[in-house]
Amino acid sequence: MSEEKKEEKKEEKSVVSRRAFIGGTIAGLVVGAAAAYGATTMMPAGPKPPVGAPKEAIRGKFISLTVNGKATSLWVDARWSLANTLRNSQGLRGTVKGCDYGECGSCTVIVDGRAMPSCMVLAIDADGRTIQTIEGVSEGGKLSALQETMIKHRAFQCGFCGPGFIMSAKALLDKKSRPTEDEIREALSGNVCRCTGYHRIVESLLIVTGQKQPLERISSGAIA
Amino acid sequence: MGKRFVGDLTQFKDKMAQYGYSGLRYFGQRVDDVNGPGIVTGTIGWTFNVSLPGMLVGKLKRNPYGHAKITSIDTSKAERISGVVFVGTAKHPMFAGKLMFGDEPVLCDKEVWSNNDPVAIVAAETLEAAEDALDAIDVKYEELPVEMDPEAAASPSPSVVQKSPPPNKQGRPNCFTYVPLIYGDLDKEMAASDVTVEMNPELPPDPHGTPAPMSAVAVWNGDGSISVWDDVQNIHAVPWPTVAGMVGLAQEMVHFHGPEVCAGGFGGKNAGIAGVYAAMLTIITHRPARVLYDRTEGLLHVSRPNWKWKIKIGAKKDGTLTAIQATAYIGGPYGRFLGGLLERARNGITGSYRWKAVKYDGYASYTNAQNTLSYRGYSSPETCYAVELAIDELAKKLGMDNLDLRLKNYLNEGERNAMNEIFRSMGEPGVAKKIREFMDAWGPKPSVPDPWVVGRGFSGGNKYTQGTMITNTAHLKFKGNGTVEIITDSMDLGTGLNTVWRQFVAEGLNIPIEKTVKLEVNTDYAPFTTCSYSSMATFHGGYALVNATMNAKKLLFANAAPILKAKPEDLETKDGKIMVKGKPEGAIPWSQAFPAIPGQPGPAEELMVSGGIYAPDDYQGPGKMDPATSQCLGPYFRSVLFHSHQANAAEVFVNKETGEVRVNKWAGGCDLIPANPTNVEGQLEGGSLVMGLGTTLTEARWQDKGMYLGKSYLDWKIPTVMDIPKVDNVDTALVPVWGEAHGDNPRIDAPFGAKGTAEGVQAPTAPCIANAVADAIGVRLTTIPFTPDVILKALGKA
Repeated sequence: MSEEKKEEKKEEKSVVSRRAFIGGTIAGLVVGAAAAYGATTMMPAGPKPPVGAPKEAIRGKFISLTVNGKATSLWVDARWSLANTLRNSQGLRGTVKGCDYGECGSCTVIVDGRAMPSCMVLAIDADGRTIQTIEGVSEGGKLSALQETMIKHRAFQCGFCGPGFIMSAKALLDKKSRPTEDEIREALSGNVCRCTGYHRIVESLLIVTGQKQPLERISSGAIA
Repeated sequence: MGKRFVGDLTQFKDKMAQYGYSGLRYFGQRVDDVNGPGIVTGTIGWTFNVSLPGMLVGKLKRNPYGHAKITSIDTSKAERISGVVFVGTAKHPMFAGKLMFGDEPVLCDKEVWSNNDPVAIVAAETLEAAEDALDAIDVKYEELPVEMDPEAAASPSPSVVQKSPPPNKQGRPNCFTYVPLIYGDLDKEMAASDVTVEMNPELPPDPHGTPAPMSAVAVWNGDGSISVWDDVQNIHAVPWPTVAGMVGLAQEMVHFHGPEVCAGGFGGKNAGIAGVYAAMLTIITHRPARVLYDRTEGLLHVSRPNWKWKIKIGAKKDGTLTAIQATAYIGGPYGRFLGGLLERARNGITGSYRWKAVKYDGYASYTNAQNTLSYRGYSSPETCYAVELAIDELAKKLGMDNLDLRLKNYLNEGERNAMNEIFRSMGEPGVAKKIREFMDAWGPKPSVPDPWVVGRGFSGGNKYTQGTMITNTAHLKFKGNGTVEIITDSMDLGTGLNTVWRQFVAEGLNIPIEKTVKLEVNTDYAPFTTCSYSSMATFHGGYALVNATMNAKKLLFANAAPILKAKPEDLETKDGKIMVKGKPEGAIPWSQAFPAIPGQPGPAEELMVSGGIYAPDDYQGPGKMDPATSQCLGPYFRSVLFHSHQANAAEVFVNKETGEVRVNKWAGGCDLIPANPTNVEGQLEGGSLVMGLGTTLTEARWQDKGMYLGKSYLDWKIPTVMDIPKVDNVDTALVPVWGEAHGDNPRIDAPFGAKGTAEGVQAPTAPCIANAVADAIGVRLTTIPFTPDVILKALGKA
């Protein structure tokens, strides 16, 4: 096999990385964005922009966000995802990241009332949005009823997927006070967990909405 | 919600009372998980959240091929990228060493044996700069032929000889570990069998797939030492010595911190490899460095190895089992823990059944499959898969009920098995009967519309934790204010150990659980602990902690006896006070009984007491194993430290047009005294049902010439909440086992009767679902996963 063909083959196998995707997106944005916000600095070395894209590109811009009820204005790099921005720039480390491809749901936040994986939202696209993260669920240090139930019912094990699940669940419960089991499953279907098998997460939602009884907690004597 | 059966623990409570324990004050109770508040707020100490000022981003350049020769590596362009601090290859002495089994380059320079092998490393100021640098590193490869099949690789004349010089075990060039078991006269017993069953079950590689990928942070300290935070399951056994060894520092110069909770392990975080790279980068750059694998690396860096079985079993007409012959082939690019897996598979083939003859041959060979590590169950699920499929077929051939066949042949408590070990803590018959009871309660099979068909399956299971390197120590630090600090390195992987340790100590000392604190897992002060892996932590860690409480009471009672004017054996302790049994009025606080510091008046401010479990003599009995036959020599010696048993039943719906398989109902149980029933049920629901469901039905691994396609959750599909049975259709059973072999000591065989459970729960799942699918479609499938195309092919429709 010639060297060229080998290279082609290798390309076929490789997954399109989010960065490459963003590289393309930025190049696309550049046409409109550069005019709207004014190109400031050169793009750092990286993937080549597509043919026809302007050579100069914006590197980032100031955006306004309302995060957990607090209005904030910040500069973001054009390549930053909302997940990275919340974690690194806003110090909201409860939003964890498991894949960066929108597959695992660990980084789920609520954007304008909708649960979405924040790794799939570019920070510059979140300009003007209202965002709720896990830190906003237990504001003032008081856990929500959902969180309390999830602790008592042992909804999570290692818990890495936990914040994402709670945000997906909260987005559902904000809209519907007594969702059916099927509706709960639908709402949580974008979140991946490897430890719990989802069972107690679904049960916790049924318990907190008054559709199932919590397990008895017996303090002494034989347990039943 | 489905049934949650927890067996009656009255007998356990009475036994505990005989030894002065209240029993069931905390132990055996649904104590809330101490990690809960940290998890639901996202603030718990996962390594993922460790961040240091000025931290560099470390990334690895990985090989895209299955097997290739490296002809050149050019890093010059990468080094010129703004923000790149360091680019390294195997030419740098730091990266020239070999990992783990000694056959795995830290960075490959001449040859790569597996997709995802690292060839270069980058440290940069930002993730973007690091990724740009990876792209700019130019590596030229020359593809080499691949061998993915562990059986073909183990051939005496393989088509690809992987390593030079070849390890050549048993005259097989690629084979590096061979494990035998010989018991009885196989040919005679097989010939005397009325019925035999032969099968070739196969389990392809399956990644651990934790949502949290491997991550580590390391920082160089001014005194030449380094501090490492690594998302690992254990510290002392592998990661700490590995990191220290690879960077050439004494272990004491590596301050190793475990996570508050390891973010999912399943065997895949036993090695601490990310920590090695982070440590190397910080020593080179003198700046904090983080290595965080991305999703693709997370799925490619470790997996279960490919298991290929050849199994034949025989029985008499009346269902008495006669002989079993099993050959296991496993493979991977590097040795890692494959030899250990074969040993555990040997224990599983010996299994829960009474055989007259057993022959087992296990071969681990070099292939170009993806890299491996221990995987939940440490080969128990893979071995049970082979045995339980064959037993199910045997029952059909004999026209016997498959539970009756099993019950007829289960070993008894105290009986010697085919490895000449005394078999203890045998709860399998009880668990199997309970699960069958649940299955019977489901009623007759439901009628489903065409083209769906229904099937039901059953399987037993076992996980026999082997006793190599099981030394565990725990410290308890008693404070003057009545608080006890727990110092152990056994990691909580989300299984609930941080809570269970406190339950052990609170029960052992009869104090409120709020008066116990578990300290951070940290090599600076924590004693040697091998766990957590192979489901050993509850058993070994608990054993060490119970021993520590016993040692503490002995010491405190001896010191308190003169003050209370009583004999030490007449004293008891409750809520931080020591008193004459039944006379709380004269009680004194613990602190008065702390030993004095020599030369100082009065008792010391604090008391530190240790406890441990020391293998082999303390536990296994003196003796050894014959390497040629794997027979245990010596009256009490055994390779297995504790036996745990499980059973599963499942009802599946199979669509004959689309090939879809849905698990509709499921029941699972295990035999133990549950330290915390909620935790054990969580293992059954998540580990047994859903992780088992994934590996059996959905987690297909596709590769072409060793290049893997399943690089994300989209094309390597783990179950989501849409794939699991409804909450009312899941039953669990915790069946107490408190056999005669426990003897007179509540420590023996298990601390307070608790034994490991996290991995074994997965042992019966794949065979159970496979048996149910066979029942539904009338065709026996032996290679998992049963994806729709596999089902349709079996039905002659594809």
